[in-house]
Amino acid sequence: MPKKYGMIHDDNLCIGCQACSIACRAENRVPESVYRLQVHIKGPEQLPNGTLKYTYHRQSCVQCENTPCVSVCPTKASHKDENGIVSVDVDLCVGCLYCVAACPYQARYVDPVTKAPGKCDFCKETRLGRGEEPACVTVCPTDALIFGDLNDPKSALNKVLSTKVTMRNKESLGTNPKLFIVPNRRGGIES
Amino acid sequence: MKEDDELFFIQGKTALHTNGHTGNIPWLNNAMPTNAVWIHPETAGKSGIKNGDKIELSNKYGKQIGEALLTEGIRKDTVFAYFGFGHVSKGLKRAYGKGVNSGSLLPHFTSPVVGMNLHTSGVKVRKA
Repeated sequence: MPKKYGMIHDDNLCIGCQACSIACRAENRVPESVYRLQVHIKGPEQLPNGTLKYTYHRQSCVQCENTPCVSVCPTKASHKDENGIVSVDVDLCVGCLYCVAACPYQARYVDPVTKAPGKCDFCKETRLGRGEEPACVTVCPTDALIFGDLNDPKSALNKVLSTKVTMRNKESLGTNPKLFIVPNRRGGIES
Repeated sequence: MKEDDELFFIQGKTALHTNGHTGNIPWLNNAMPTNAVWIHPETAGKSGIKNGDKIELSNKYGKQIGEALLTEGIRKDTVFAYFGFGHVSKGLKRAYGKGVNSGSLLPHFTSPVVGMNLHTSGVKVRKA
């Protein structure tokens, strides 16, 4: 059975240290001035119970199952593989940047060297092939990221999905993203 | 520790940098080149300070100029700035002179038994 790779980002554990962003840059040789992954720290906002909380938003590709970026590509450069990872074939790309505009999560950047769009590909070209988890997951100091196979009922990913409340961004658009977020609903210094 | 016309000054460590050691590293410096001074909007309003204004923190130990960040994440009687900024070494070309040097506003005495020095002081805050 093919794999269906997904990821969980736990907003309660994330501290916004950007270690994931730096590790991604190092592992995938992301060019200067562009980012495959950032953590945006938003807040503080006040919750109904009077406490304050910050939101740690993982700004990166969410690996949609129903991919707008693939459907708009005129050359099939933007494609999804059998494991559900979306990536760009630079040799087929003509640089129309339609995919950059089509992505509802603003996950794509324009590579200043190849001029083709780039994005997070769950370290498909670097670490996944070696049997390792993506760089961001490995380096996270608080274990806020969990990676795994959604098709494997015994995976650590599915275990957390069945025990914790999760949500996904922009679900109403029908993109069916594979990045799940454990939201921080508590606030205050105890959270 | 604090006079009546002063605010408490507290500090902390940012998760992105490792103390003051990593201030000049390009990738980390790009992500966070400087620190701002956290101040409550009500406290700032009393001194006519708006978000982004240059403000001066001063006490008998030192004087620092920083940028104000108005936030409700700090008490009304307190200001905050991260450690690890305001570098004084000119050789640290990317980090030199950026932000507030939090350590220079702290008292110089150490506690008798453990030798720890005090990480809280009072500062006068005014628009610079």
